[in-house]
Amino acid sequence: MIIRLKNIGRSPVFFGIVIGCLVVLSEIILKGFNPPTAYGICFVCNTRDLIQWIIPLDLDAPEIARRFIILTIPGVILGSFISAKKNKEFKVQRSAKPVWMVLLGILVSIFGLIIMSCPTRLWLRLGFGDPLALISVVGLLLGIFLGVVTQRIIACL
Amino acid sequence: MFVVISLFYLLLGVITGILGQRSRICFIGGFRDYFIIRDKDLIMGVFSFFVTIRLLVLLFQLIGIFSLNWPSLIAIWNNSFIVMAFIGAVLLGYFATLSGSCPLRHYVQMGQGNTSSMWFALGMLIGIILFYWKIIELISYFGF
Repeated sequence: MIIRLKNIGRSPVFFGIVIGCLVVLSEIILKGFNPPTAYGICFVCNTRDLIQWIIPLDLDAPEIARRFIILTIPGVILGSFISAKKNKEFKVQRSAKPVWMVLLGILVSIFGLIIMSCPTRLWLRLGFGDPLALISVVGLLLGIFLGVVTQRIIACL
Repeated sequence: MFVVISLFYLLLGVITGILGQRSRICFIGGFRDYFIIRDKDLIMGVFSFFVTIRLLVLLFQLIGIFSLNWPSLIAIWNNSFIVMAFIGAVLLGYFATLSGSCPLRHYVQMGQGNTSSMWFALGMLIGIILFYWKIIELISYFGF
Protein backbone atom coordinates (compact mmCIF):
# COMPACT_ATOMS: atom_id res chain seq x y z
CA MET A 1 0.00 0.00 0.00
CA ILE A 2 1.77 3.12 -1.23
CA ILE A 3 0.87 6.27 0.66
CA ARG A 4 1.68 9.58 -0.99
CA LEU A 5 2.65 12.37 1.33
CA LYS A 6 -0.21 14.57 0.21
CA ASN A 7 -2.80 11.94 1.03
CA ILE A 8 -1.40 10.84 4.34
CA GLY A 9 -4.49 12.16 6.10
CA ARG A 10 -6.41 9.36 4.45
CA SER A 11 -4.50 6.67 6.25
CA PRO A 12 -5.92 5.27 9.51
CA VAL A 13 -2.41 4.45 10.72
CA PHE A 14 -1.62 8.18 10.68
CA PHE A 15 -4.69 8.79 12.81
CA GLY A 16 -3.60 6.13 15.26
CA ILE A 17 -0.07 7.48 15.65
CA VAL A 18 -1.01 11.16 15.94
CA ILE A 19 -3.96 10.74 18.27
CA GLY A 20 -2.08 8.19 20.37
CA CYS A 21 0.73 10.68 20.95
CA LEU A 22 -1.71 13.50 21.70
CA VAL A 23 -3.67 11.46 24.22
CA VAL A 24 -0.58 10.41 26.17
CA LEU A 25 0.62 14.01 26.03
CA SER A 26 -2.66 15.23 27.45
CA GLU A 27 -2.32 12.73 30.27
CA ILE A 28 1.12 14.17 31.12
CA ILE A 29 0.11 17.82 30.87
CA LEU A 30 -2.95 17.45 33.06
CA LYS A 31 -1.30 15.35 35.72
CA GLY A 32 -1.70 18.06 38.32
CA PHE A 33 -5.48 17.96 38.19
CA ASN A 34 -5.76 14.24 39.02
CA PRO A 35 -7.82 12.89 36.18
CA PRO A 36 -8.76 9.25 36.25
CA THR A 37 -6.15 7.04 34.61
CA ALA A 38 -6.43 6.90 30.82
CA TYR A 39 -9.02 9.65 30.53
CA GLY A 40 -7.67 11.37 27.45
CA ILE A 41 -10.41 10.57 24.99
CA CYS A 42 -13.69 8.88 25.74
CA PHE A 43 -16.95 9.51 24.01
CA VAL A 44 -19.29 8.14 26.62
CA CYS A 45 -17.57 9.67 29.63
CA ASN A 46 -17.14 13.06 27.98
CA THR A 47 -20.79 13.16 26.95
CA ARG A 48 -21.64 12.52 30.57
CA ASP A 49 -19.33 15.36 31.63
CA LEU A 50 -21.00 17.74 29.22
CA ILE A 51 -24.44 16.81 30.49
CA GLN A 52 -23.20 17.38 34.05
CA TRP A 53 -22.69 21.03 33.17
CA ILE A 54 -26.15 21.41 31.68
CA ILE A 55 -28.41 19.35 33.92
CA PRO A 56 -27.96 19.65 37.68
CA LEU A 57 -28.22 15.92 38.39
CA ASP A 58 -25.52 14.14 40.33
CA LEU A 59 -23.81 12.11 37.65
CA ASP A 60 -20.52 10.57 38.73
CA ALA A 61 -18.27 12.92 36.84
CA PRO A 62 -14.66 13.05 38.05
CA GLU A 63 -13.20 16.17 39.62
CA ILE A 64 -11.49 17.45 36.53
CA ALA A 65 -14.81 17.46 34.72
CA ARG A 66 -16.50 19.46 37.41
CA ARG A 67 -13.85 22.18 37.31
CA PHE A 68 -13.30 22.47 33.56
CA ILE A 69 -15.64 21.92 30.65
CA ILE A 70 -14.29 19.04 28.59
CA LEU A 71 -14.96 20.21 25.06
CA THR A 72 -13.69 17.21 23.11
CA ILE A 73 -17.01 16.28 21.56
CA PRO A 74 -18.01 19.67 20.15
CA GLY A 75 -14.45 19.77 18.82
CA VAL A 76 -14.89 16.45 17.00
CA ILE A 77 -18.11 17.64 15.41
CA LEU A 78 -16.54 20.97 14.46
CA GLY A 79 -13.41 19.41 13.03
CA SER A 80 -15.30 16.90 10.97
CA PHE A 81 -17.61 19.66 9.70
CA ILE A 82 -14.64 21.78 8.62
CA SER A 83 -12.98 18.86 6.89
CA ALA A 84 -16.17 17.76 5.16
CA LYS A 85 -16.91 21.26 3.89
CA LYS A 86 -13.36 21.62 2.60
CA ASN A 87 -13.45 18.33 0.70
CA LYS A 88 -17.02 18.83 -0.50
CA GLU A 89 -18.27 15.74 1.32
CA PHE A 90 -20.92 17.45 3.39
CA LYS A 91 -24.40 16.15 2.63
CA VAL A 92 -27.48 16.17 4.83
CA GLN A 93 -28.99 12.71 4.53
CA ARG A 94 -32.32 11.88 6.05
CA SER A 95 -32.37 9.02 8.45
CA ALA A 96 -34.13 5.80 7.49
CA LYS A 97 -34.66 4.37 10.95
CA PRO A 98 -34.70 7.09 13.63
CA VAL A 99 -36.39 5.12 16.41
CA TRP A 100 -34.01 2.20 15.99
CA MET A 101 -31.00 4.52 16.23
CA VAL A 102 -32.32 6.16 19.41
CA LEU A 103 -32.83 2.74 20.97
CA LEU A 104 -29.35 1.61 20.01
CA GLY A 105 -27.91 4.85 21.38
CA ILE A 106 -29.57 4.19 24.73
CA LEU A 107 -28.21 0.65 24.85
CA VAL A 108 -24.69 1.53 23.76
CA SER A 109 -24.37 4.29 26.34
CA ILE A 110 -25.76 2.12 29.14
CA PHE A 111 -23.30 -0.70 28.49
CA GLY A 112 -20.54 1.79 27.91
CA LEU A 113 -21.13 3.24 31.36
CA ILE A 114 -21.18 -0.23 32.91
CA ILE A 115 -17.64 -0.89 31.76
CA MET A 116 -16.76 2.80 32.07
CA SER A 117 -15.39 3.20 28.59
CA CYS A 118 -16.43 3.54 25.00
CA PRO A 119 -14.73 1.28 22.41
CA THR A 120 -12.07 3.93 21.84
CA ARG A 121 -11.16 4.28 25.47
CA LEU A 122 -11.04 0.50 25.85
CA TRP A 123 -7.97 0.31 23.61
CA LEU A 124 -6.52 3.28 25.48
CA ARG A 125 -6.96 1.53 28.80
CA LEU A 126 -5.44 -1.60 27.32
CA GLY A 127 -2.46 0.49 26.27
CA PHE A 128 -2.08 1.68 29.84
CA GLY A 129 -2.07 -1.89 31.10
CA ASP A 130 -5.41 -2.23 32.83
CA PRO A 131 -6.13 -5.94 33.40
CA LEU A 132 -9.91 -5.41 33.34
CA ALA A 133 -9.52 -3.84 29.90
CA LEU A 134 -7.96 -7.06 28.64
CA ILE A 135 -11.06 -9.01 29.64
CA SER A 136 -13.29 -6.35 28.16
CA VAL A 137 -11.47 -6.37 24.83
CA VAL A 138 -11.96 -10.11 24.51
CA GLY A 139 -15.63 -9.58 25.23
CA LEU A 140 -15.82 -6.74 22.73
CA LEU A 141 -14.41 -8.89 19.93
CA LEU A 142 -16.87 -11.66 20.79
CA GLY A 143 -19.71 -9.13 20.76
CA ILE A 144 -18.69 -7.77 17.37
CA PHE A 145 -18.58 -11.31 15.99
CA LEU A 146 -22.08 -12.03 17.33
CA GLY A 147 -23.34 -8.76 15.85
CA VAL A 148 -21.99 -9.62 12.44
CA VAL A 149 -23.62 -13.07 12.59
CA THR A 150 -26.93 -11.45 13.58
CA GLN A 151 -26.78 -9.03 10.69
CA ARG A 152 -26.13 -11.84 8.25
CA ILE A 153 -29.02 -13.88 9.64
CA ILE A 154 -31.36 -10.90 9.37
CA ALA A 155 -30.25 -10.29 5.78
CA CYS A 156 -31.04 -13.87 4.79
CA LEU A 157 -34.59 -13.87 6.16
CA MET B 1 -6.58 28.55 33.37
CA PHE B 2 -10.12 27.45 32.76
CA VAL B 3 -10.00 28.75 29.22
CA VAL B 4 -6.61 27.17 28.54
CA ILE B 5 -7.67 23.68 29.58
CA SER B 6 -10.97 23.85 27.72
CA LEU B 7 -9.21 25.11 24.61
CA PHE B 8 -6.73 22.27 24.89
CA TYR B 9 -9.52 19.71 24.89
CA LEU B 10 -11.23 21.55 22.05
CA LEU B 11 -8.06 21.41 19.99
CA LEU B 12 -7.68 17.70 20.70
CA GLY B 13 -11.24 17.21 19.52
CA VAL B 14 -10.78 19.25 16.37
CA ILE B 15 -7.71 17.26 15.33
CA THR B 16 -9.56 14.02 16.06
CA GLY B 17 -12.47 15.24 13.97
CA ILE B 18 -10.39 16.29 10.99
CA LEU B 19 -8.30 13.13 10.90
CA GLY B 20 -11.27 10.94 11.72
CA GLN B 21 -13.26 12.33 8.83
CA ARG B 22 -10.43 11.92 6.35
CA SER B 23 -9.45 8.40 7.31
CA ARG B 24 -12.91 6.96 8.06
CA ILE B 25 -11.54 5.22 11.13
CA CYS B 26 -13.92 3.16 13.19
CA PHE B 27 -12.97 0.98 16.12
CA ILE B 28 -15.90 -1.36 15.60
CA GLY B 29 -16.34 -1.13 11.83
CA GLY B 30 -12.74 -2.17 11.34
CA PHE B 31 -13.35 -5.54 12.95
CA ARG B 32 -16.64 -5.93 11.12
CA ASP B 33 -14.84 -5.31 7.82
CA TYR B 34 -12.20 -7.84 8.76
CA PHE B 35 -14.73 -10.51 9.67
CA ILE B 36 -16.73 -10.09 6.46
CA ILE B 37 -14.28 -9.01 3.75
CA ARG B 38 -10.85 -9.54 5.32
CA ASP B 39 -10.02 -5.90 4.74
CA LYS B 40 -7.11 -4.95 6.95
CA ASP B 41 -7.12 -1.20 6.31
CA LEU B 42 -9.18 0.05 9.25
CA ILE B 43 -7.98 -2.33 11.94
CA MET B 44 -4.42 -1.27 11.21
CA GLY B 45 -5.50 2.12 12.52
CA VAL B 46 -6.86 0.57 15.71
CA PHE B 47 -3.71 -1.45 16.28
CA SER B 48 -1.44 1.50 15.55
CA PHE B 49 -3.39 3.52 18.13
CA PHE B 50 -2.86 0.75 20.68
CA VAL B 51 0.79 0.13 19.87
CA THR B 52 1.71 3.83 19.97
CA ILE B 53 0.10 4.28 23.36
CA ARG B 54 1.64 1.10 24.76
CA LEU B 55 5.13 2.03 23.64
CA LEU B 56 4.86 5.59 24.93
CA VAL B 57 3.48 4.46 28.29
CA LEU B 58 6.27 1.91 28.70
CA LEU B 59 8.83 4.57 27.79
CA PHE B 60 7.45 7.07 30.26
CA GLN B 61 7.21 4.44 32.99
CA LEU B 62 10.89 3.70 32.43
CA ILE B 63 11.81 7.37 32.67
CA GLY B 64 9.61 7.86 35.69
CA ILE B 65 6.92 10.29 34.63
CA PHE B 66 4.10 7.78 34.97
CA SER B 67 3.68 5.64 38.02
CA LEU B 68 0.81 3.28 37.40
CA ASN B 69 -0.06 0.56 39.81
CA TRP B 70 -2.78 -1.69 38.54
CA PRO B 71 -4.01 -4.62 40.61
CA SER B 72 -2.90 -7.84 39.00
CA LEU B 73 -5.41 -10.09 37.31
CA ILE B 74 -5.12 -12.86 39.90
CA ALA B 75 -5.97 -10.49 42.74
CA ILE B 76 -9.25 -9.44 41.19
CA TRP B 77 -10.22 -12.85 39.91
CA ASN B 78 -12.75 -13.39 42.66
CA ASN B 79 -14.31 -10.00 42.16
CA SER B 80 -17.60 -9.54 40.42
CA PHE B 81 -16.12 -6.68 38.40
CA ILE B 82 -14.82 -9.26 35.97
CA VAL B 83 -18.27 -10.62 35.17
CA MET B 84 -19.66 -7.14 34.58
CA ALA B 85 -16.64 -6.17 32.51
CA PHE B 86 -17.01 -9.19 30.27
CA ILE B 87 -20.78 -9.19 29.83
CA GLY B 88 -20.95 -5.42 29.44
CA ALA B 89 -18.28 -5.50 26.76
CA VAL B 90 -19.99 -8.30 24.84
CA LEU B 91 -23.25 -6.39 24.78
CA LEU B 92 -21.48 -3.13 23.97
CA GLY B 93 -19.86 -4.73 20.94
CA TYR B 94 -23.12 -6.35 19.90
CA PHE B 95 -25.23 -3.21 19.92
CA ALA B 96 -22.52 -1.01 18.50
CA THR B 97 -22.15 -3.37 15.54
CA LEU B 98 -25.91 -3.28 15.00
CA SER B 99 -25.82 0.49 14.92
CA GLY B 100 -23.07 0.52 12.34
CA SER B 101 -20.08 2.15 13.94
CA CYS B 102 -18.41 3.15 17.18
CA PRO B 103 -19.42 6.42 18.91
CA LEU B 104 -16.36 8.21 17.47
CA ARG B 105 -17.48 7.52 13.94
CA HIS B 106 -21.06 8.50 14.78
CA TYR B 107 -19.90 11.90 16.00
CA VAL B 108 -17.74 12.33 12.92
CA GLN B 109 -20.68 11.44 10.70
CA MET B 110 -22.76 13.96 12.62
CA GLY B 111 -20.33 16.59 11.42
CA GLN B 112 -20.74 15.31 7.88
CA GLY B 113 -24.49 15.79 8.02
CA ASN B 114 -25.74 12.25 8.60
CA THR B 115 -29.02 12.43 10.48
CA SER B 116 -28.97 8.82 11.72
CA SER B 117 -25.99 9.64 13.89
CA MET B 118 -27.80 12.62 15.37
CA TRP B 119 -30.56 10.32 16.55
CA PHE B 120 -27.89 8.01 17.95
CA ALA B 121 -26.36 10.91 19.88
CA LEU B 122 -29.79 11.81 21.24
CA GLY B 123 -30.13 8.22 22.36
CA MET B 124 -26.76 8.39 24.10
CA LEU B 125 -27.92 11.46 26.02
CA ILE B 126 -31.10 9.74 27.11
CA GLY B 127 -29.22 6.58 28.03
CA ILE B 128 -26.76 8.40 30.29
CA ILE B 129 -29.52 10.13 32.21
CA LEU B 130 -31.48 6.87 32.45
CA PHE B 131 -28.43 5.01 33.73
CA TYR B 132 -27.74 7.34 36.61
CA TRP B 133 -31.38 7.70 37.47
CA LYS B 134 -32.64 4.14 37.65
CA ILE B 135 -30.24 1.50 36.49
CA ILE B 136 -27.41 2.02 38.92
CA GLU B 137 -29.57 0.85 41.79
CA LEU B 138 -30.60 -2.22 39.84
CA ILE B 139 -27.00 -3.16 39.15
CA SER B 140 -25.95 -2.77 42.77
CA TYR B 141 -27.83 -5.99 43.43
CA PHE B 142 -25.14 -7.77 41.41
CA GLY B 143 -22.31 -6.27 43.42
CA PHE B 144 -21.27 -3.57 40.96
